[in-house]
Amino acid sequence: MAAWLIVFLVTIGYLIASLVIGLASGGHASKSTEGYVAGDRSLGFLVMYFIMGASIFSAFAFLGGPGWAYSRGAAAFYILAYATVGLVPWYFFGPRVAALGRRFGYVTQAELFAHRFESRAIPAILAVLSVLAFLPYLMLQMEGAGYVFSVVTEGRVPEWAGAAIAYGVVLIYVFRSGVLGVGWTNTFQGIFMMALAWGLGLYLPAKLHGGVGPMFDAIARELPDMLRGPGLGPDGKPWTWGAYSSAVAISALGFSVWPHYFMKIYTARDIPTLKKTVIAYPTFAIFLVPILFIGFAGVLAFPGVQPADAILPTIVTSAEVGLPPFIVGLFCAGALAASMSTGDALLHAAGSVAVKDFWDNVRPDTLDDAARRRWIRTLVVVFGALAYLLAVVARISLVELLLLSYGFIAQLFPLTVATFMWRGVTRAGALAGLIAGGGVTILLNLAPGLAWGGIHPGIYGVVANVVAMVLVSLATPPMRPAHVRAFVPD
Amino acid sequence: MGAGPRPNPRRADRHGVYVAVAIFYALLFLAVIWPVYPLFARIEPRILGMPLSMAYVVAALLLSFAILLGLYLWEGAGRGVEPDLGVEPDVVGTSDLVGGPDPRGDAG
Repeated sequence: MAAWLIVFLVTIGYLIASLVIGLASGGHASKSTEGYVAGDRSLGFLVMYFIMGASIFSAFAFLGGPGWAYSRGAAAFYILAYATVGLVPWYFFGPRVAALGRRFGYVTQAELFAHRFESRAIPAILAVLSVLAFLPYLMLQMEGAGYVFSVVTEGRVPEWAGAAIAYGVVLIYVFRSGVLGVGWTNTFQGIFMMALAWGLGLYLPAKLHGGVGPMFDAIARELPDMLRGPGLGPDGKPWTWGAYSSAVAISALGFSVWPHYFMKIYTARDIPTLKKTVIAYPTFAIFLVPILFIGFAGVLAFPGVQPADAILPTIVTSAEVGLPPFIVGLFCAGALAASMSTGDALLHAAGSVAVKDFWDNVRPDTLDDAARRRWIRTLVVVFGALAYLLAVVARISLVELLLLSYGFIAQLFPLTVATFMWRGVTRAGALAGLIAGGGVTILLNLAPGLAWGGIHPGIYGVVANVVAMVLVSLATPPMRPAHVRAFVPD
Repeated sequence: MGAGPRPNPRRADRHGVYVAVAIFYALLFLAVIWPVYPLFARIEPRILGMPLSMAYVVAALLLSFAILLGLYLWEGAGRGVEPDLGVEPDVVGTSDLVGGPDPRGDAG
């Protein structure tokens, strides 16, 4: 049998397994919006752990992580750095979010803010921003899936077809099983990725350089700037500390409040489950270490690979390494798993947010629960098709859009902190903060020359956000203490 | 919830521990960016084959795990207590509050 065919068949086998697990897992949930979006608040530690783990193992980490290590060296450590604190805020506000959700029936992030600030405008604005932030992120996952298919089958499966096959499977299980489909497939995909990351991450440096130590010895001799922080910039020259630090900061600020992960707080069975998920999260992030090793293994052995994100597939399929086709197939499946386990959560959240947070606030009381669940499912398909068309057919460049996404999402962090820590924050203050933060982020994206020191526009946005929120809140009358009491403890 | 007993009479002491942990994580965040991380962002000494610039960040990740695990163990039986929302179960109707302002309320 031809090598590419074996690779293809292994990949298809993985996709069928994902589909079966995704379809089988939906049967336990009630046929309600709460069942579809929050899994009836019944998820245990194992599934929660892998849902959050999938947030680290996206197509970005699996292809982009080695790509960064390969082309930019120590700059890639920023991904590890933000994981040190990224999820920690959940330990502090997560239990209250979960209790409020159980008490008042929230299933999305914006419902919490709607209630806290007694506003329909805030959730509607957040819904629009969330979906806009999700789309480029989702498009990146789809491009990654198509790319992997194309490379390992030597172009026999074109990118558009690869992305369509992988996301066809995702749509089916998200449509059918909702968050439980996301959770159980992520568990399967996560175990798969962990095994593959450590296997390849230790094998490839050994095969190409005689081990991890000798590999770094060689890079330290030939290209020492790669191993010194903050690594290299996109132009190959040393990066700035401002850019490195703000990349860590913007990712860490945004991480705990990305709407599609935040809403997973509501899925936890109980508070210890939620806390254990937060505690265990860095153990998942450790799996990025072997992934980065793979990129470093290519630095001297495979110079000049373009684009840098192709380094992992290039090494895995090279004759020099000589991996058997079956293992290459497993790699291909692992890369798809990384893409799909992130993309499924985004799709599921986009549908949920558009209906629960946008429609239910713009046109209140027009949908009953069955209609709501039907519309969420419909929009999952619509957003999937839209991202596919933009990513694979129109091939829009994503770098700028992703920068803007992270900048927007980070604006939710001050709002979240104020929600739980400051009794004085008012509806007008919250709105002013979001508008100022979002506005500054957009402005500095349009005019990057104004952002001093290579610092991420979103950081300036956060500063403007906090200033506007505090000043306007102080100038407006506080909200009723009896109402605020549920959010800010004595 | 609202009517339940306070979980621990030594609330002030417990509060201090949470503040200390929060400060620790703020410092840990500063430790992985400028200006602290540049002090450790060099190649030597090598740890487990990795350059110090990488091993340092991995160590921060493991420390993050260890401290939070320590907090969880310290919480003991209190770890599963739902936060007190201060709301009487029958005072506020659930469905009124979801997705928007309280229709009877003073907001618009």
